[in-house]
Amino acid sequence: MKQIQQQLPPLSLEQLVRFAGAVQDFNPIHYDDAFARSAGLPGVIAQGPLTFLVALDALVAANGELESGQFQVRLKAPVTPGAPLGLTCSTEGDVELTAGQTVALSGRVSGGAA
Amino acid sequence: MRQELLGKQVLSTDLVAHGIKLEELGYAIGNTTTSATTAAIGLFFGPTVCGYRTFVEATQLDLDRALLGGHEIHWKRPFKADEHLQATMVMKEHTNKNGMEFGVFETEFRTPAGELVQMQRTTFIERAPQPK
Repeated sequence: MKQIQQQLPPLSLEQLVRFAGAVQDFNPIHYDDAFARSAGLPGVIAQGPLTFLVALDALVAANGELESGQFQVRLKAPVTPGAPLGLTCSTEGDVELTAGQTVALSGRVSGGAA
Repeated sequence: MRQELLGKQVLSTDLVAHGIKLEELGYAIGNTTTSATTAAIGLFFGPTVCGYRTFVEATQLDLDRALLGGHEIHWKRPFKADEHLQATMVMKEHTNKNGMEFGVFETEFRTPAGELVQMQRTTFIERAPQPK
């Protein structure tokens, strides 16, 4: 894997809503701020699988199309829209995505380019 | 969550990797040059292939206490636009630790000919109920 250390654009509420529609996940914690706060969250949070895919997209961009592969992560903290995102990946494939100062996701990627 | 599902099939459904869904997911991933490629890898999220309510009802996952703890995908190739697939999900592990429940669900996506295109392993955590 290519070594990566880069900032990614923050997620927008529009992306969360688009993702909800695309995967049919209409849990209101992903689009209704009042509901999310009533559930004890800081506000609307991104879907874990969307956070996963945003990290994977940066890995695909750096490494070229991964024709086959594996991406395994632990989700450690929620990502809120607007939070600055940073992604690192080592040459061994160890990946970490931060949202602000918090590690949101860590894991490992491997794969072969087309 | 229903631990009696351990080792059993939770969901099974026929799917189509609709081209329009690939496009929608690409937009959701973001305005990048690779979002369409990434969408073809991550088009489906196993637990929501039948809609998230179906998964919640089948597993009796308590959404007020549930967290997505981990997710992994093993892909043999990207999904192709408009290809037909069958998805099956099995509960592979169920453990209790420190009052929390951990459930691991494995979803396989195969073509009608039986070709395995992708396997996903998803871990949900159900936190202990809050004392009243």
